[in-house]
Amino acid sequence: MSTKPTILPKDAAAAEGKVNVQINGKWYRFPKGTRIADACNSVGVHVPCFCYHPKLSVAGSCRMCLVEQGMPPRLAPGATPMYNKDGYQDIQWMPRAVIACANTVAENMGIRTDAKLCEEARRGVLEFLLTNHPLDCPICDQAGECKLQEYTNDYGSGTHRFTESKTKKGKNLSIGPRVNLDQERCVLCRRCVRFMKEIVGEEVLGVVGRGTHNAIACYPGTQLDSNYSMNVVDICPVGAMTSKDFRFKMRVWFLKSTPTIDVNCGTGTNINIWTREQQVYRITPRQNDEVNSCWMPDSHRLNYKFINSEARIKTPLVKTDAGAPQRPSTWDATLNMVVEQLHSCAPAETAIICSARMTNEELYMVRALARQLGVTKIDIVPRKGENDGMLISEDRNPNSTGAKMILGKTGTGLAAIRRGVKNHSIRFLIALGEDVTADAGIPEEDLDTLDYLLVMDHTESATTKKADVVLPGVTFAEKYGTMINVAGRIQRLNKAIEPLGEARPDWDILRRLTELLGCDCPRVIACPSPMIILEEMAQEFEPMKGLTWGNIGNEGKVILDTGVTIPLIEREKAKK
Amino acid sequence: MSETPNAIDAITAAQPSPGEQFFPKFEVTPELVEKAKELVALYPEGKEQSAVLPIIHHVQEEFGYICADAIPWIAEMCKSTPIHVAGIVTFYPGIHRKCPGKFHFRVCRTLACALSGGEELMAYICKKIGVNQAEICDEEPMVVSENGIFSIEPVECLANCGFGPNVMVNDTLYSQVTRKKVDEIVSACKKQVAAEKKNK
Repeated sequence: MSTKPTILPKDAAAAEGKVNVQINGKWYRFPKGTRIADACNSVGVHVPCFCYHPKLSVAGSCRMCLVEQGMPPRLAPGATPMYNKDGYQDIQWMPRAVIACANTVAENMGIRTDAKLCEEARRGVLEFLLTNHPLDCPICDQAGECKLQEYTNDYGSGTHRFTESKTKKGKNLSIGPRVNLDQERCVLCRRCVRFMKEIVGEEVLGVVGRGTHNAIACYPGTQLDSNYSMNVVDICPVGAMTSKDFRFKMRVWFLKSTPTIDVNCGTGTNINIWTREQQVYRITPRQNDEVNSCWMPDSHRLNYKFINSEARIKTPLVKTDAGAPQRPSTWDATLNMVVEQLHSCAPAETAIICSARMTNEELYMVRALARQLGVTKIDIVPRKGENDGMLISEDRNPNSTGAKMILGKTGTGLAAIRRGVKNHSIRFLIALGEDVTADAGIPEEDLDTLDYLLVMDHTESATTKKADVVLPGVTFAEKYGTMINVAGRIQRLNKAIEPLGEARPDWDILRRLTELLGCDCPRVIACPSPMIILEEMAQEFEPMKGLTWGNIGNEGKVILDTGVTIPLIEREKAKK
Repeated sequence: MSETPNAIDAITAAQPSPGEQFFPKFEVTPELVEKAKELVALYPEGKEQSAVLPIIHHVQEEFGYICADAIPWIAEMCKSTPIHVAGIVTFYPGIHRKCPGKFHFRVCRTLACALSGGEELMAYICKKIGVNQAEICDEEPMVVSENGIFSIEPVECLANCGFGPNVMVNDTLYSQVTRKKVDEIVSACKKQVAAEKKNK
C-alpha cells in the first residue's frame, strides 16, 4: 500500500531550516531552535507554564511544563538508521520528563503532553505549590484568571496530603503606588523580577530568603514605581501582584473584554477594555509584536476614568439666547437649529478646529462638512510630549498620521485661526473633539467675542461651557473606527460599551449635519457605518487601497512608511 | 517601635546583638573601598556583580555581620542593586544579618555528627556558654549569649563526617568533641577575653 517516500521527511524539513517533531502522535514541522513549549502551543497543544513567558528569559523554575520526550535511539557503531514506512525513525521515550520551556525541538523528536508521566509530574508540582498557598481565592482578585486555580482544576489531585502548618509571609504589602504584593499567593515564577530587569531595566524586585521562606520583595525604601509597573500584574500567573486600581472592584468572570487600541499617544498600543454593563473597569495590554509587544504604560492604562465620568455630556445642549444658560435639547431640534445657524455663517469668517484624536472615519466626515460649508480654515491641534524610550510616542495624538492623510497639511493653520479669533476676522468657530482653550491655546475670553461657537465633545470643558450649541460625542470606548499610528499602521477601534445617555458617535453627528446642510453626495450621506466609510476612503486614498474592516484584522496593517519606529519593539527585535 | 516590621521592612530591620561590642561598627573607610575595588577588579568588565559574594565575605570578616547600611554600599561597589545583594545575604545561612559573639560556635547537626552525639553536645555547649537553646529556631538559628562573648548556631555538614561530633569555633574546626573538650575551649575563650580587657 504505502510507497517508500522518495525523499525522507528529515531532508525535506532540513531544506526549509526546519525539523520534524511528533507531538502527541502527530508529526509537525517547526523552525530549528523553537522551544518545545512554543512549538506545542502553536499547534494547539496546551502546555501549562507558570514561569515561562515568551518575552522574558527562561527561568525553568516552576517545573509545570514537564513533558515526556523521546529521540531516536543512538546508533551502534557501523549501524545505519532505520526508517519506518513514513520515513521517520522510531522514538525511544526517555524515562524522565523534561521542561518544555528550556528545551528546543530537534529532528525526529517525540513529545507527549498527554502521557501518564506528565500527569503525575504536574500533579506533583501542583501539590508542592499548594503546600504554602493560602487558598484565599474567594477574596483574591486573580480568581477566574489565575493559572494556579486553572491548572489545579485541570491537573491537580483535588486533595492534599500536607497537614503541617503553612509558612507565613507578607500579605497586602504596598510595593509601589499602583501595585500590591501578597507573598503567600506567590508561586515564585519570578516573571515580575525578570520583567523589571530585562524589559524596564530597573532591578527593583528580587527574591529574598531561602527555601520555604523565599519571597518576592523590593528593597526597603525603594518602590516599584516605574510607569510600566502594572505589567507585572498582568504577567503574574497568580494573585501575588494585584492592581491597586482594580482591587476588589469586580470579579473578572463578569467582565467582557473588547479588543481595541489605546488613544493616549501615537503608538496606538493594542489593548483590551474590560467592561460590565456600560461601565469600564480596567484596561490591559493586548499582544501585538509590531506595536507594543505584551506591555503598556501605566499612565495610559489608568486613563479611562473619563469614560464613565460625571462630567460626560449626555444630551445636546443649546443656548436659546445670547447670554442665556445652556439647556438640554433633543437631537432633531438641535441639528435643525445648528443647520439654520451654520447657513448664516460666512465661510470666510468660519474656522473648524478638529482633533487628531478622531478616527479616520470621523475626519473624513469633518472634511465633508468643511467642504459643504465651504470652510477652508481647518486644522487639528498638535500635541507633543517626550518620547519615553519605551512605548510612549512624542506625538500625543493617536491619529496624526491619519489626519495628515485626510486633511492634507496639518498643524500649520492653527496659529492663523488663533489670531483670527483674537482680531475678530473669525467670528464663527466649530470645535470638534477639542477643548480649544487648552492645547489649541485660544484664551477663554476670546471665545466670548465669537458670534457663534459650535462644539462637539464628550466631556464638559471650558470650551463646551462657552458654546452656543454642544453636540455630545463619544469616547474611544464607545465607537468603531480606525486610526493610523506613528509607524503608519492602521488599526481598529472597537466599541466596548454603548454611547452614554443620548450621545451619538461623532461620525454619525457629522454625517447628519452634512446631509441636513444639503449635501447630496451619496458617498458621504449614504454611509451607514464606519466600516462603509472605510471602504469609501479605501477608494479615495492611495495608501488605503484594498482595505476593508475585515482585512485590517486585530493586529492592524502597515499602510504608510513614516520611518518612525517604536523603541521597545526595536530592542525586542534586536534581541532575537 | 513595638510594631513588628512588615515582610519587606524586615529585610533591613536592625537586629541588635550583644556581640556588637567586640566588632567595629560598619563604616565605609578608604581602605574598605580599596579592598572592594580590588575584589571587583578580579572579574572581567561588565561582570562586576560577581564580586558581591567576595565583598560580603570581607565585610562579614571585618565587622562580624552584614548590617543594613552595608547592603546598598556593596550594591554600589558591584554595580548591582540593593535588592540583589539583599537576596544573596538572606539566602546563605553562613552570612549573618545579626552580629555573632566574639566566639561563634557552629555545631554540626547532620547525620554522622548526630549519630555520634551532636545533639547532646549542642545542649551542653548552650548550657556552658549561657544561651537558651529553645531560642534557636528555623527563622533565627543563631543565638548570642548575653555578655556577647559567645554565640551558637546549628549548621549542616562541616565536611569531617568520619570524626564527629564536629564543632567549628570561628574558623577553627574541632573534631570528636567531648564535654571536656568543650570546657577547655570555653575557658580558653574566656581567658582570652579577660586578657584583652586587662590590656585595654
